[in-house]
Amino acid sequence: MDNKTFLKIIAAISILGILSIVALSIWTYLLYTDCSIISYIANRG
Amino acid sequence: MKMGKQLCIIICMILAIVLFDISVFNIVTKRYIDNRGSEMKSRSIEVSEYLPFTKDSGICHIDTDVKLSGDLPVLDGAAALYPVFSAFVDATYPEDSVSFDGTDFTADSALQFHNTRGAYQAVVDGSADIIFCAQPSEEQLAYASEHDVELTLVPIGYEAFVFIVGKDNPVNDLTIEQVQGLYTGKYTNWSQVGGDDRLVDAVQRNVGSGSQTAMLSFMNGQEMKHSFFGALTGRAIGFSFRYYVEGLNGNSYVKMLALNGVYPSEENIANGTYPIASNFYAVYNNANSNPNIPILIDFILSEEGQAIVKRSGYTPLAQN
Repeated sequence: MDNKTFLKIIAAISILGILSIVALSIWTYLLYTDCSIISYIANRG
Repeated sequence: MKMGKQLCIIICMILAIVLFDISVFNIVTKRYIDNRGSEMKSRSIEVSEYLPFTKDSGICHIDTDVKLSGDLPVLDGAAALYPVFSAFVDATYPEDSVSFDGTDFTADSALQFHNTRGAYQAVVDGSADIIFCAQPSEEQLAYASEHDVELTLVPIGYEAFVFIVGKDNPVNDLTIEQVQGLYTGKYTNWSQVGGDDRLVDAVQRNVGSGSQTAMLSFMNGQEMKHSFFGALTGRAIGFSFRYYVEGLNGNSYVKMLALNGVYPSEENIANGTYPIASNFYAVYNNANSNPNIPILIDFILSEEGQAIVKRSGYTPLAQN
């Protein structure tokens, strides 16, 4: 594998990695309110 | 760079990202899959805020001529009723009968708090003399029976069993059939009962807790199911007793639902229009010969005792 191809693969993996982390972070944020509700509902009393 | 080294770097990068993603995913989803796990545990009530004989306590104080002495019954019970039985102690017990170390009651204290499951165990084992709870579960009755203990249940007030959802849930009113359907899995999406297009997460409580026992009674033998995908991404519905949600441990993210068109207000419970109001009880071992037990029960059922029930936010017997 030449260096140019190798760098392209590294760049693609990095972009996919960053995208997946951003997507999971957004999902976490969107579910945050539901989590606090479920925590309250599941643990009360 | 050599091919082997390049492949090694690529594999390491992919592994690092996948592991990181799995960790984040695990943190996010753990709350749903194990919503009573250690991360989600929260103390159901702050005991120190409702201590007897304390000036700034959240309990109601009344003056009475009934003062117990001698062999004082040890009281225990459910979180939702803790302010009530703490107020009974405040009214009738000597001040030195209660000892709190800043976190818990000490072993020699006449006031204890172990919540419903612990309290039923305590009254059977003899470490509590009177407990204040909702009706016992089948397991709790079986536990008493195994130990040859006959429990006496004295109704001392009424409380509504309520259903709660997130405040951002557009649903405000459900029928009893719809609630049962959400728990049996008949309805899996909120849009089927007038809400938005989100899955249903029908949350249950620990086996043996007062509200779980009340829920089993409400379901009348229908099996409750819990959807994995609902738990992962759905809107939650849960259940509790009204005062716990309304006064004792309110949460600004949560609202109570009207049932069959009737909101569980204190007025609707008192006038009997809310469909599922039920008794809560003082429970003691029938064989317990402590002479103060009948005196305390008589006090609780008296005008003064029922005033404590009412001023603590519950519906007294006479009003229902």
